[in-house]
Amino acid sequence: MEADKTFQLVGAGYKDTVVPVERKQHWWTGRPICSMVILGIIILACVGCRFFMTHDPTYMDLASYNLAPNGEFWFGTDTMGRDIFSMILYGGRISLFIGILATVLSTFIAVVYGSISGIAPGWLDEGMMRFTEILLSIPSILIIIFVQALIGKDNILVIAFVIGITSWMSISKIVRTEVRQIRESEYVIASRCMGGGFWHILRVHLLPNFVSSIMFMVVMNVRGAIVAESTLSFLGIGLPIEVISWGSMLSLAEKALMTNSWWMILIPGLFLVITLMCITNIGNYIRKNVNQRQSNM
Amino acid sequence: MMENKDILVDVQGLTHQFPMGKKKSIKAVHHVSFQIRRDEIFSLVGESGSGKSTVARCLMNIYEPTEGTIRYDGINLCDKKEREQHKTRLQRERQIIFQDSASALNQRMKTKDIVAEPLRIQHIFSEKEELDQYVRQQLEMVGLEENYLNRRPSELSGGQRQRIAIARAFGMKPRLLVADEPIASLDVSIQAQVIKLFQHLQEEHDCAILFIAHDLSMVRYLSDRVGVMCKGHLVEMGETEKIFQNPLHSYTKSLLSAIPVPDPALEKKRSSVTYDAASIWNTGIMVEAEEGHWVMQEEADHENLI
Amino acid sequence: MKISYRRRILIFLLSVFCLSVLVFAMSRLAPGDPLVSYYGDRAERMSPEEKDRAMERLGLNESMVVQYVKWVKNAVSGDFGMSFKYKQDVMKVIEGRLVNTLILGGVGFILTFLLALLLGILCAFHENSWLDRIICKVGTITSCIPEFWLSLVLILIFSVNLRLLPGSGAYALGQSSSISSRLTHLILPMVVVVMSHLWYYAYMIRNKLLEEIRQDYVLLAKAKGMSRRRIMYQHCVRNIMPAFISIMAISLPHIVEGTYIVEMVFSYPGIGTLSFESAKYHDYNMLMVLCLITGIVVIFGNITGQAISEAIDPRMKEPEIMEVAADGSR
Repeated sequence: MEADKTFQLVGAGYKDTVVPVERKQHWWTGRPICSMVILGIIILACVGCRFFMTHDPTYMDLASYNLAPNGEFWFGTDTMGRDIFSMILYGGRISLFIGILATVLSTFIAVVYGSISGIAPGWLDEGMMRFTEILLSIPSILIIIFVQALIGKDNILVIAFVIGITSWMSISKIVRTEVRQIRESEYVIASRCMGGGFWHILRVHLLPNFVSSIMFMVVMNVRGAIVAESTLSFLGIGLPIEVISWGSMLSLAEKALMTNSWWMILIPGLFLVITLMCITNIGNYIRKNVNQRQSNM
Repeated sequence: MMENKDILVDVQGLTHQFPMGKKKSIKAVHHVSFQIRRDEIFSLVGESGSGKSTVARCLMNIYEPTEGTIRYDGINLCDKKEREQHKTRLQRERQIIFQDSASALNQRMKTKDIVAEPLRIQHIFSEKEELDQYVRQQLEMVGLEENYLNRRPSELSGGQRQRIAIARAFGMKPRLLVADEPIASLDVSIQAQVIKLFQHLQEEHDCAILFIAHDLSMVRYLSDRVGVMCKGHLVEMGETEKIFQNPLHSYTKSLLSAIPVPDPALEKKRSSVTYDAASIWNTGIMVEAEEGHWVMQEEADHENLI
Repeated sequence: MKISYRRRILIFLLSVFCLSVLVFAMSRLAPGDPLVSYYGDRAERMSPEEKDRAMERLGLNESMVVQYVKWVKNAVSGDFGMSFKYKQDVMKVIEGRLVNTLILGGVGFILTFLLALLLGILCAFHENSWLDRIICKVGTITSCIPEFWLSLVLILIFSVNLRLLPGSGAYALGQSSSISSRLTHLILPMVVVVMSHLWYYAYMIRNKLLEEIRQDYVLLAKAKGMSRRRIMYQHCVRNIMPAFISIMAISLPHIVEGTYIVEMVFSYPGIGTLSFESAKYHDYNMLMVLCLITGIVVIFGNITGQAISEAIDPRMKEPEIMEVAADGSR
């Protein structure tokens, strides 16, 4: 500033000029390290629950039921005398598993459906998109309940399946838009001329191009699936109480409310919320930052 | 016209319409007929929007022609059943090169994968090493060194990208190569290189090329025969020198008069010939003016022109 | 592309038709004897002849298409069949509850978006201030809390421990006409409905506004000497109105979903609780009608929303709406 007088700032308000303080850029700047570490710990603890559990999560200790957190039962026991700490680790495995399985299924459906719709001629595309819009117009919990009632079974795979086949619509819409943009590009035409079939074009040309734009939605889908599972199990139409998951643990909440046992509601729920938050943070990181320009106001 | 044995592609009365909305449609190509011999370079010239690319795309079955037939080595390309029957053969023997090399190559793939893609689809090599070796060889043929193998299209120049597209096409040892304005997006010095490359590869592979361009001097240099297109019609067709020296159709005359001459004295005198645009809208018939030189004429003034 | 009203109505009718086919087909896929869902345990004690007669009377022995046509015919005249659980006309059961849901969901919906708009404007005004940051942080956190758990925590605090507010039902026993009783019962569910969606939409509106205040016309208006407040309200907010209404229309299913879950937790006698109960007792007839009604309401909302935002701003094109949709359906 001092050296070059030619470009000295003059006029009203020149003192307001802020010299940007250069912040040191670390490799972790802007990365959700904290979320990743916490999520990693939770996943590790759940997967390796055998080494961390202090009690057998399925054992109903009738002598010590409904105990507040204490030295032996770190997070207390539920109304059936099971140790909540062990249940959280053990049940987290199932919750996460359902979340991932349902997402894999729904992403697969979404990619295939969206790509077909994107490649298909106008009228078919229109019809397929209307169909997704109709499905989107029914609240997903209602569809899940409906399908769940129709299937009528309640084990882990069925729940994951039901959640999976009811949550692919938004992703498939994005896939379809992306495919519409790519499908006229000449490398897809060239590939078709070479004899590349649907699956080849999807795998080699389309998927790499839209994978970044659906990644955020996929991560959010894991979150949605975990929420859906816990909501269903909590309501008593998902997993039965014997199959331990974060949702089915919370389904004892009604009894807990009567006895005012806060630990049965707050502790599993906190774990659920923390996991969801970590997933959301990672998802948001994947989504590009939008507002980088200077404000005009 | 020509001996049947020699003809690889026989296009008869090709018409293609693009639907615009429900009722209207645009005729991009209008009763076009021509043949391509087994080892010649056939060029289509004409201003942009005259339907050259549409013809090319019809030949590759990217568009379905509204009317007319296209025979490739006796196979009727307009017939879905017949096409399905000879699917593998058609996919292997016909290759296409596009104008815009940037959009014709997937930006996310490496050079070697781009060149290997058709070979993989058609399962031509069973061994991975063999495929690698072959891809390397192909890139060498188009003058790209080994260190280009792992680059992506975005890191390359336009000329290099077009070379990759050429390597991809010639790697399949095609019998018919459709080159849809392959040099239009390149700058002049590179154009010459690419044209040389085409010539060289054509001699080596002995294939037919349908070459589409609007650079007339390049066309004259490269091709054996030329077809002139205007507003969807093929107005004149014949051996290159015959057309360039003795253009008959008014549109061809006008087109040729637009070629700049590399001599300032002559260039100053050069004047462009105009033509009557309205006359071309009418349908005409192709008449053989001299041997192997066809020109479109209105039915009314049948005798006048010759 | 501007869509005419006739075309919009056509789209609506077509959507409703597809929806009804879908729901009908799904309900007929239900496991077990459809007779059981009409007659309950009685069906098991019926003799084969009785069964045949019952089948005939209900039209179950005819083809699916005929059944569907008959069902639609009855439905148009308001007869959706019997509820297996309530042994009553489906519409009668729904009628009473629809109002409750409309109060909770409707008021919640409007409240959510009014507050979201206010918060969004506030955040955009003070971009990157501590207020903005807190709201954004709180927003991301609350959007992660499942509705049912938030409800549980609120019940635990306000109803069980503080004993301030009732934690279930729509009114105290025997006080169905007392407005104050209804209002106190409405507070907690309403708080959950609003809280769980407010932040997310406020955040979306904030981002839309931030995009808007980076437009060049804002700079021009500022150069002309317009005050920040006037620029914000007269230009920016007005310009994001179509996007705002699109967001509202598209988020309708989410709010409805939230309302249903909240109803189930608070056992608030509305459509949500009803659908949950009918799923539990395999009352497919009821479930079908509930899906249909919800779907119709949402489709109607969507189409009207789009129509309004297009009427305000003809530039609002399909792709933009798509983008909002992709944003809105998290």
